[in-house]
Amino acid sequence: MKPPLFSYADPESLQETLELLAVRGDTAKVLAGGQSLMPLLNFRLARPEMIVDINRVQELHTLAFSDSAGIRVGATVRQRELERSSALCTANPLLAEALPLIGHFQIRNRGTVCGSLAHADPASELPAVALAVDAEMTVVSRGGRRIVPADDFFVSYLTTSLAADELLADVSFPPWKTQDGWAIEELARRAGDFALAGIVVRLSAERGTCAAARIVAFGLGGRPQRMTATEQAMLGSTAGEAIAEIEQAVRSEVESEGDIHASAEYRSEVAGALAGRAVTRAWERAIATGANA
Amino acid sequence: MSDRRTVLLTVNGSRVEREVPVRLTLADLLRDSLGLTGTHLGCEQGVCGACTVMLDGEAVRSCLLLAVQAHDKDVTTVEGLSWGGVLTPLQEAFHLHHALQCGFCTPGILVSATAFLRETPDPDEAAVRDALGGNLCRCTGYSGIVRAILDAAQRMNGSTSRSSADA
Repeated sequence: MKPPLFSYADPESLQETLELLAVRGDTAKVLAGGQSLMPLLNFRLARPEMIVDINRVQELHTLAFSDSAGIRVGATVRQRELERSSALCTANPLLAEALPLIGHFQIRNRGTVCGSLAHADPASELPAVALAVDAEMTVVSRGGRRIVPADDFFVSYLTTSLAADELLADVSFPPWKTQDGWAIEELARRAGDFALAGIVVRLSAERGTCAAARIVAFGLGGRPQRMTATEQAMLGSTAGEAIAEIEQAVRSEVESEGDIHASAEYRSEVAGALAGRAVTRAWERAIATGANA
Repeated sequence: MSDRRTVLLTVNGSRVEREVPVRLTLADLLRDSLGLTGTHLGCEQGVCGACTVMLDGEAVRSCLLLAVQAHDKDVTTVEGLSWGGVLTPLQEAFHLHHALQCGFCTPGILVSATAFLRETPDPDEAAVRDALGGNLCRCTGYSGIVRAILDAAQRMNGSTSRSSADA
């Protein structure tokens, strides 16, 4: 189908953008890459009165890598732009592994990092990675600016803690800890499809045992979920050898929901298997850093 | 903030100016207003890939772009891939390897593969198959398409022997 009728504004400044959002509230919708919003418009699932296209706002097109502050990605930075950055592999190898899993290259050429986070599709990779690395969202409005940790940002299906007059101006991924091992695993019927289940792992090892672990499941319920009980159980263990226990722990901890694509039981079962694979790979990488030699 | 706007863009090398409703997609501008019906519309949700065009050299879905967003941009459609009736190496390889049947998906695949080969001049088969993930073909089964893209890469890299590519 075709998009419904709307009025269109493409402000050049952030101030003008925030002014529009303040006045228009939830009758306006922000357009960045359009890879989620445009399908919603074409399906008439979204009928905003106004589209606020932020692509001309230069202040939002910032991409900065620094040793002390990590990676800061502005609202209009395309996923492909970050994916192609030569600094990414060392600055955040987990992001580097996750980005190519998003849709297809034609989608990533247009889709933005912040747009994916603000859209908050539970099957998307970036919210799960954001949660796994403790990313922070810079949320701005006419009234000011607040920093929102990833865990407080994602609420439920396509729902974040962004208010109607707020804009996700940038996301900040903290500096990568070089001793960390990482992996992302997902199951989709075809490459590029929405994941039926996925797992992101970040962990470190000391003297052969697990010193820190972060496991995030996605694609299962309304938002990415931290497997805190499994993480706790892994501490001090030789995580690389306790794979069967980890798989089981994730299956009992995860909260899955069923739909026409997969049942809740199937999703939980798959999440366990993916957790096993992801922990195995992350463990090998953590051991390979030599921090535990 | 009116509901219509004038857009100025370059399409296949020609400057184009049109007044359009702001909700018009780039795909509909190309097809209905400019008569460039090589850009096909399948799903209108970014999945099928038939509407893929190049925007400033990058392959994108024209069904997920507003025409007004193409203002000041350079658009290449399947019609703009070759000049003067001479097929590009990729188009020639599609012909040779029977990489199409009904042809519906072909424009999107040609545009996508053109962009892909610019970035990845010497791909292996796995990379080609991965790159094709964003284009649905429901008749040929992709084998001919994969062969054609691999052959096109060889031709563009200077090894133009048809017989070796056919073997």
